[in-house]
Amino acid sequence: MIKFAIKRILVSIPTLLAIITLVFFLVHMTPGNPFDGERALSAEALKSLMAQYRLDLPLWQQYIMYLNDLIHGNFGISMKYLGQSINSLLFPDNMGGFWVTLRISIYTMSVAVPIGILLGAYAGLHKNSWFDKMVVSGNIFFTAVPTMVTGPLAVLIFAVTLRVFPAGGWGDGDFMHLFLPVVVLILAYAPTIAFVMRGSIIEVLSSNYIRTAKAKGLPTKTILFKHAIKPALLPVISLLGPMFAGVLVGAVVTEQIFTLPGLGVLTTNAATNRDYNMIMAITILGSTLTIVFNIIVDLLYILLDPKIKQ
Amino acid sequence: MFIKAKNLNLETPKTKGFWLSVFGRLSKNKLAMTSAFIILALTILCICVPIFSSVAYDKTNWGEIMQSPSSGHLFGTDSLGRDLFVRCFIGGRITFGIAFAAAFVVLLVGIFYGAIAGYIGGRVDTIMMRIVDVLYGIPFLFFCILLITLFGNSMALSFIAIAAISWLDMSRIVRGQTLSIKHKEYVEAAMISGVSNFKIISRHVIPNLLGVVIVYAALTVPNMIVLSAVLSFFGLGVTEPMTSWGLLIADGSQNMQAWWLLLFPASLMIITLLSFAFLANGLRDALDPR
Amino acid sequence: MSEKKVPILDVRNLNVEFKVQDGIVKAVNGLSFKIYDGEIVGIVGESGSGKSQTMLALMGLLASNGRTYGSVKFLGQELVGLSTNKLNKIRGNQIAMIFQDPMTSLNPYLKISAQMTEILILHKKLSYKEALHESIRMLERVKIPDAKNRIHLYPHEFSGGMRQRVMIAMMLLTRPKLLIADEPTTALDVTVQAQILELLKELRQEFKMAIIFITHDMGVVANLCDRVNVMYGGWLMETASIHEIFTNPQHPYTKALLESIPSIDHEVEKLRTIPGEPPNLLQLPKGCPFQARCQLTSNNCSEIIPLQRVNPRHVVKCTQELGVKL
Repeated sequence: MIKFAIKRILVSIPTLLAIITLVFFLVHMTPGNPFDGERALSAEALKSLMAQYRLDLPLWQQYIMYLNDLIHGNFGISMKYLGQSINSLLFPDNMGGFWVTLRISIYTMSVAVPIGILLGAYAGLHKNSWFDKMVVSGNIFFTAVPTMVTGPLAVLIFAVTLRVFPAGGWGDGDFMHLFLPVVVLILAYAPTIAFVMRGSIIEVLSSNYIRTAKAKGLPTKTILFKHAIKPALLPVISLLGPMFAGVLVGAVVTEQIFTLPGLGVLTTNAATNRDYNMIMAITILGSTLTIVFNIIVDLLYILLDPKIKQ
Repeated sequence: MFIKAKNLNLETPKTKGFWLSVFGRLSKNKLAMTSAFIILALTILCICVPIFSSVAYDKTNWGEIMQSPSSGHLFGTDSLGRDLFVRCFIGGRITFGIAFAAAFVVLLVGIFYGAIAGYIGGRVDTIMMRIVDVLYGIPFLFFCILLITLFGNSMALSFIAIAAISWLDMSRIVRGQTLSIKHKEYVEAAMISGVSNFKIISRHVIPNLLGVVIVYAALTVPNMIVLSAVLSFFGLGVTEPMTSWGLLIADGSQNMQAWWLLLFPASLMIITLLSFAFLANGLRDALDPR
Repeated sequence: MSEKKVPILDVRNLNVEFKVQDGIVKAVNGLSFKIYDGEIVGIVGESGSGKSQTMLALMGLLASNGRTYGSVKFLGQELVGLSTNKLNKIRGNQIAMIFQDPMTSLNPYLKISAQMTEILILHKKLSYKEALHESIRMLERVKIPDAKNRIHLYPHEFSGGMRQRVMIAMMLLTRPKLLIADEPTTALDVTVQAQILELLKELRQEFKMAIIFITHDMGVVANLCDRVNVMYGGWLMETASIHEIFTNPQHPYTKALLESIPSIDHEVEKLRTIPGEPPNLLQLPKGCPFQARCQLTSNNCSEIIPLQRVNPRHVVKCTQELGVKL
C-alpha cells in the first residue's frame, strides 16, 4: 500500500515537470517580449527590466532558475504589478486570490458530494420513479447548461428581481454573499455525482453477489450498508479527482459572474495585461492541484478496493 | 488463399443496412429529431437574420437606448441602442462558426492521433498516450487563456488554440476503438496480405470509427460553444462591436436592470446546448441499441 | 422414499412472468413438483427452459420486472407473496442456494469471514467469535486448506473451485433443510466439477438435507440425483426416478436429451444435438412448447396436453401413447 503510494507519487513528478517545461518554453519561445508596446520605455529602463526578469540570460539558464524558484515555492515576479511577487498576489495575507477560489471550491464539494451521493442512491433504489426521472433530467440539463448561463440567470432572478441575495461581491465571505455562487456551482456538479451514483447503485444491486446476499436472508439495510455501499461508491470516488480540479476552474468562472476577488480576477488581469508570469503561475498551480487530487483519489480507491491491494 | 482472404474480408462490416437502421431508429426518436430540427432552424436564422434585417448589428442609435422588447425591436436594444435581435443572431453566427470549426479540427486531430497510436501500438502508443496524460494534467481553461494571451487575442488564433488542446478525449476514445478493431479478423487478414498501414487505417479503421465520431461530434460542438462563451467572461475571444452569445451574456450580466439583455442570449444558448445534448443522446441510442 | 411422507417443498401451478418492452415473457408455466426430505432432485433443461427462474422465484430473488403466481409451500408455509421480512427468516436459514458463477457470487469487497459470520449472527444469534469458529470448522469440512487463516482473505484470493467450496460452506452454516444448487459446477473445470459433486453427495448424507440440483448436463444428473424433472420452455415435461429416466424415458424431449449425452462407450460418430431453436418465450405456441422440434408431433400437440402416469412417480406431459419407442 505504502509502496504503491510512493510509486504513484513518483510517477506523477515527471508529468508535472513535463507540464512546467511545456508551459515555460511555450511562453519563452513566443516571439516578442512582454514589455513591447504598452509603454514607451527607454533603452536603459528596458535593460534593467529585462535583467530584473532574467530575460537577458540564456533560455536554459532562465529555465533552471525558474525550476529552482518553483521548488522553493516561489512563482516569480508579476509583470503587471512591477516588482510585486506573484506569491503575494496568489496567496495574500487577507482573503483574496487563491484563498477565495479554494474556499468556494471546498464549500461546493462538501455540499455537492454528499447531496449527489444521496440523491443518486435514492434515485437508483427507486429506478423509474418520478424522483429518478427528475435526477436523470436534472443531470442532462445541468451538464448541458454551464455556470456561465445559470449564474447570471440566478443573479437576475434572486438578486435583481426578488432581491433575496446580493448580486455579487465577497462581503465578509458571509453566507448571503456566498450562497448564490456556491449554489450555482453545486448545481453544476452535484447532478453528475448523482447520475454516476445512480448508475453504479443500479449496477451493484443487480450483481450476483447482491443476489447471494439476498439469498442469505439478510435484511435490506444490511445489504445496502454492508454489501452494496462500497462497490457503489467506487465509481463516484474515481470521479471526484478530476471533478475537484474541475470545480476549481468552475469556481474561477463563477467568480467572474459574481465579482468575487479570487483567481478569476487575477486571471483576467493577467490575460488583458499579458502578465505571462502570472498566467504561468496559475496554470502550474492548477496543474499541481489536479495531479495532487488525482493521487489522493487513486490512493483512496486502493484503500477501498481489495483487488488492487497487493 | 491470400487472395481469397482479401476478397472475403476487405469490405467493412458496417454496411449500408447498418446505417439505414441507425437512421431509422434515430428518426423514431422524437426528442432527438426535434433537437436536430431546432439546431438546423437556429443555424438558418443565424445566417439569414443579419442578411435580411433592416438594421445592421453594429448600428448604434442614441435615441433608442435600453429599450425593452417591442414590435420594433423584438429583443429590445442595448446600452448603445443596437438591436438585440440582430445581435443575437450575428452572435450566434460567430458562436456556431467558432464551435463547428473548432469541433472539426478537434475531430480531425483526435481521430488521427488516436488511430495512429492505437494502430501502431507498442512504444509509439505508450509515448503518444503519455503525452495525452500530461496534457490532461493541465486545467484546460487556464491553458486556453495562456495560449490566447501568447498568440494574441484574435478569433482565428483563439479557435486554433482551443482546438489544439481539445482533442484529448477524442484521441483516447478513438485509440480504444482502434485497438479493438485492429484485432478483428478482417483487419488482421488485410495486414497479413500486405495492405499498407495507411490504407488499412483510412479504409478499415476510420470508417468503423464513424459511429463514435458522430456521437462525439455532437458532444464537441456544444463544448466548444461553452468554452468560447466562458472565454468572453475573461475578456478574451470575440471583441466589440462584433459579438457572440458569450459576449452578449457577459454584457447582459453587467446590465441586469435590462433583463432582456441577459434573458434572450441566455435562452438561445440553453436551447442550443440542450438540443445538442438530446441529439447526442439520440445518436448514441440509435448507434448502439440495447 | 415412501409415498406417505410429507414433502418439504410443494410447488403447485407455479407461473413466472417477466414484463419486458415487447410484451410478457412467460418463463415458467403451470409448474408443479414436490421435493421430499433428504433426496436430490435434478432439474434438467436447456437455457431458457425456466429451471433457474423457478428457483429464483421460490427464493424471492426474481428481477424487479418478474411476477410469480401459484403456490410454493415449504414445510407447509406458503412462500409466494410472503413479505421480504418473513422470507428472510427462511432463506439463508432453512433454504439455502448456491449459484452458477462462484467468481461473482461472493462479494469481492468483503472478507470471507465477514460474509460467513453474518449468516450465523443473523439467523442463529451467535456472537462474532462463535460464528467465526463455526465458519472455520465449516470451511475445514469442505476441505479448504489452512481455513483458520484463509477465512480472513478476500474472495479473489481463492481459485474458482475453492470459491465454490466457500460458497457451499457459507450456505450450509445454518444447516438448511433444502439446498438449491443452480448449476454450481458449470463454470468450473471438469476435475474440479467432479470434486464438488462428490462433496455435495457427502454433505447431503451428513446434513440430511434435500438438494435441488439444476443442470443442463444429463451426465451430472446420472451421477448425483435420485429423481429428475425435465423442463422445456417453462414447462415440466417429465418427472421420474433416475432409474426410470435412463431406462424408460417417455417424453420425446427427454429421449433427445439422453441421446445428446456424449459417451465413451459408443463409437463417436457425431455429437447428437437437438435440431431447431428453443421456443420464443414471448410467444409460446398453443399446446406443447416442444412441438416445433419434436419428431413425433401429431395434430393434438397444439391442444391442451394431458399428464400421463407411467407409474405413480413417473409422470409425462405429452400426447403420445406411452411406451412408443423412437
